[in-house]
Amino acid sequence: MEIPRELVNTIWYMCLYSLMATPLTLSYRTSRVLNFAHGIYITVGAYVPVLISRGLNISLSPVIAILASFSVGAILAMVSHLLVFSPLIRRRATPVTLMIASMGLWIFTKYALYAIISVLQKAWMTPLTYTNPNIDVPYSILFMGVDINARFILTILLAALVLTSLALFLTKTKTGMAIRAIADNPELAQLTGISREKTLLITWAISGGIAALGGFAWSIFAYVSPETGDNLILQVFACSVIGGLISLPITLIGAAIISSTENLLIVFLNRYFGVELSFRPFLSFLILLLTILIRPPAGAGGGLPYRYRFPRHIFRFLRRGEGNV
Amino acid sequence: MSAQLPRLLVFLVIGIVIGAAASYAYVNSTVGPTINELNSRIASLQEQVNLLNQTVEYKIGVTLPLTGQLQDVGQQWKTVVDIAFEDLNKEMQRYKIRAKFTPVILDDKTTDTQALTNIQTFHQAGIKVVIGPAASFQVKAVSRYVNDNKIVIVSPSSTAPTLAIPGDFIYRTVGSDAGQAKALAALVKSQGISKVIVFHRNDEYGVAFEEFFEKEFKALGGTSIGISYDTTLEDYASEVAQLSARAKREGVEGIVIITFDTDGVNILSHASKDPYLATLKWFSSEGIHGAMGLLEDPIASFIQKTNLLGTRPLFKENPLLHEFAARYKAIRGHDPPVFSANLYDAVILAGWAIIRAERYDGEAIRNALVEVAKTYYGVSGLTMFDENGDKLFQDYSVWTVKPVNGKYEYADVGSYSGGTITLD
Repeated sequence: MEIPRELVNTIWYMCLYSLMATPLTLSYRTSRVLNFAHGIYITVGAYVPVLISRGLNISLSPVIAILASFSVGAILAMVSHLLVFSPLIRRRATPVTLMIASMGLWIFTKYALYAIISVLQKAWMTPLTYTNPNIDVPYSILFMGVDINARFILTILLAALVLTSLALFLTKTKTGMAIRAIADNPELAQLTGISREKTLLITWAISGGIAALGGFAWSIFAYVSPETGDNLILQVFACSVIGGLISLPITLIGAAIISSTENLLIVFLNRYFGVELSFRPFLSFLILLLTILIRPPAGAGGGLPYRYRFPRHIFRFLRRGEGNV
Repeated sequence: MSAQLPRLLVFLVIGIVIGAAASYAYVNSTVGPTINELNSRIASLQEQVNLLNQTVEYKIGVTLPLTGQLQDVGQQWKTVVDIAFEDLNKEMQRYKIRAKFTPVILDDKTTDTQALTNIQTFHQAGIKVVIGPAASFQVKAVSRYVNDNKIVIVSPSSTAPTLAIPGDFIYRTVGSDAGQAKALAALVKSQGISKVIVFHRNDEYGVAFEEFFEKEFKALGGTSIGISYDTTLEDYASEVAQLSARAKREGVEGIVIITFDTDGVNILSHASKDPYLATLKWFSSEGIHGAMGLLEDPIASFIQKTNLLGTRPLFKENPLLHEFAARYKAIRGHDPPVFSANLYDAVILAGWAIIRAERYDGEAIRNALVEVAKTYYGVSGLTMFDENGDKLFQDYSVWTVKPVNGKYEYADVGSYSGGTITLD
């Protein structure tokens, strides 16, 4: 039995965008920094297994690749916070200043990555500007007589595990609750003894790490280049904006909406209305624009953070997303 | 008498002074320069002799796609540029010409805006000859600027027939795709395929190629359906899924891809996951040739399964090409990618055009370039230009990817000549 390719791609993209967009929402919600360097964490996460497997000329275990990507992404995000955002926040920089600083960080780290890749490419005599890692995961496995793409299954499992762990962390652990407290009301949280600086550092580590895992997942799906994160960042922002830049569950719904648009809606329009496939990115950005106009994200249209309201009895689980997760 | 003596003496002195001045002027005008003038002229001549003995440095601009969609082959082309400049300077020494050529290489990121910025930068630096840009849409983007400012550009890889315009400052050391579309159509028909989908880039190169291919394939009795894709995307999984669905609906026998290297690799990587697409025959233009991704699984295995064949501009029997390829392989460890021969010849032609030009300006260099190309036989064969500034004599080879000693390598397995495909 063959699963329609469009459905496979929709689910695959949903997992990828979930891993990439959720940390953006988390970092903005907690630190109020609209981080344009977020794409770099994705790119770095994608390149870590590439550099390890190509450099050592080995077939890398997926567990090691995942741990390595997460670690490097987390470290990079923490360093970004310590060297760039934290000093500016202490000086009471405005959100616009922080956003501009993140753009500078983005450009700096991107070209630093280019320089590193260029040097390694020459030293190792192997192309690294458009490549993928050598991961010890087969392309397909036979399961009950059905040919299944093993990397597709790995991506689903990774996304489910990471997002479930994140939800449990934020709701069941002291540190997670501290993160939510800082996100909701930093002054009050500090009065209760929560260290804002330490909490922000942990938040950045988690955000950078999970974004890097999104990059790893991308590297086993398609090819990786130093532009990978940049080329995906607008779709990632679209998912987060649908989530109002504060709600993690709604960000997941945003991921589902964007991935469905790119893989199912365009198919429908192409097959029945003759719309060219070239219009695929236009549809994603149309949704982004409509979301900004109809349901502006946090802080935009009025000053107060936007709260999603859902009928209690229908979306009880989503009410936990009302600024709480 | 004694009273008139003083007056006579005054007239005498005045007469002597006037006479002396007149004599001085007469002597200078008829006899020649003075010692000081002679010395000054000698110094000026010495300076000119010194200048003649000095090596003049000429800068040639090179705009390469070191990043972006052509980055895979762009990085490899940089090695070709280095080899070409080394050989050009060696030729200058061999013929005792006191000239040295230095490349000024800038990355154009495979974008039209950066290509234009690079040309403007070269212009500001006084450079009159530029090698590149690589892609047809980039050449189109810079065409007005180079024509207005008389900057000669020599592109080794822009092939869109829509850019074949006479009288401009754009020269291409490769034949236009009007010829390659004919070759590719002949190749597809020779494999017994009558109905194909042409999956092509939605840009100057892809659209023009598809139009010409459709015309040529129809002339051979075939049918083709064109599907374009956006060139700015990071991934084409959705597009490939649609390609598969459409191929099934239309009952096509083959797929022809008109891509660059990075998007082509992405497309083939997704195609390799589709069981239906693996049952069709695949063909390609030259755009994807040289991409390293084709030499690794799963794409390499997919190519074997579908017997993917492509065409590319190449005169594969040329001994100069073999010599160049061996030198390139010694540096990079693999054969040179597509357009390497054309790029090499572009550099050599540009250098000799500067030497042959009466003066260092765009018009003189352009005229000299045409003359030099008439008699130059290079790595890509005869380099003569047609009236549009495109390579007049262009041969095509048939390429594929083959397993060799446990690894995959690019291989040229045939050629196109006189309307016929001959496979080895």
